[in-house]
Amino acid sequence: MIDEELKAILVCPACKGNLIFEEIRIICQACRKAYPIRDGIPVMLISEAQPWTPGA
Amino acid sequence: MSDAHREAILDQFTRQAVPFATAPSIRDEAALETVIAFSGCGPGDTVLDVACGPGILACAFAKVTRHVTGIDLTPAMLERARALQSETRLTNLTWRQGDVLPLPFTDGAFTLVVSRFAFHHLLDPGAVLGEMRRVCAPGGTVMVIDSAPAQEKADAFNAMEALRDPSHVRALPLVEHLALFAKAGLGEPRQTFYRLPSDLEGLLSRSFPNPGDADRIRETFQRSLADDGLDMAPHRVGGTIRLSYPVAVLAARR
Repeated sequence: MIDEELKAILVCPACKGNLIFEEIRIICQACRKAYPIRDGIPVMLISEAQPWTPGA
Repeated sequence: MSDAHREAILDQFTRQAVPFATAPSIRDEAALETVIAFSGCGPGDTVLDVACGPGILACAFAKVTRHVTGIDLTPAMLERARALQSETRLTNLTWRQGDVLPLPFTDGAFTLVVSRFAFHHLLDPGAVLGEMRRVCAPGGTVMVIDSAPAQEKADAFNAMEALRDPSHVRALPLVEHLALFAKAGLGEPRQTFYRLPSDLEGLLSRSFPNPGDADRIRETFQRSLADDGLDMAPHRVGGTIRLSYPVAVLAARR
C-alpha cells in the first residue's frame, strides 16, 4: 500500500475526523488534537494527544 | 478501556515483550500456517492485525498479502514487531500505536481484519468485534483466534489464567464467541480448532504473576492432572508438566 492510501484510512480515534500529517505529529482539525509520532509510529491515543489550535 | 485495565495491560505486555516474542509456542509455525490458510487470504488483501503484539502474525500475513497494518497499545511490543519486520525484510507493513476501541480507521478500510490471542484481554470484546466489522470492507473477512475453553471448564480456566496474568479478563467458550459474532451482525463464522502446546515452567518463566501466585498456579495444575479441570490437557513428561491451550480459529464473511 502506498503512503497516501495508508494516510487516507487513518482517522482520529476521538471523532473519526480526517487527519493532517506533519513531520512529528498528526493533527485532527475537527476536534483540535495533535497526536504524536514517536520513533516513526503514530500514537493514536486520545490520552496522548495534545490540544491543538489553528496556526499553532 | 478503563484506566486501571489499560495500566495492567501496559505493565504485563511491556514485561512480556521479549519473552513473548521469542516463545516457541507463540512463534509456532504450523499454527501460523493453519491460521493463514484458513483465512483464505490472497495477494490482493489489505490486512489489519488488531492488538498485534510482537507482530508475528502480522509478518506472516505480510508474506502472502498486499499490505498489513498492526495496531497495539504497548510500545515495547511494537518495538519487537518492527525488529521482526526488519529480520524478515518485509516492506509491506505499517505499525500504529493505539487502542482497539475505537479503532482509528475509516469504515471498510481493510479486506481482512484479524485478532489473535487478544480477546481474552478485552473488557468489552463484543464492542471490539463490532469495530473490527466496521473497518472491514463488505465481502471481506473478520477473524478471531483465541483460547476457547470448554464451557464447563471455563471458570476454572479463567481463574488460573487471571492468576498467571493479572491483565487476563476472560477467555470465552466457543458458544460465547459465536454469540459475539451474531451480535456484531456477522454471520456464523467458519471454525477450526487446534491445541497450543506449552509446559508449565516455560509458561511461568514468560509470565509475571503477583508474588506468591506462581506456587498457587503449580498447585492448581497438580490438581488438574487427575481430571483436566482446566481444559489444558496437563500431563507429566519426566519432571515437567506439559499442557496445551484450546484455541478456536473463527472467520466470518463481512
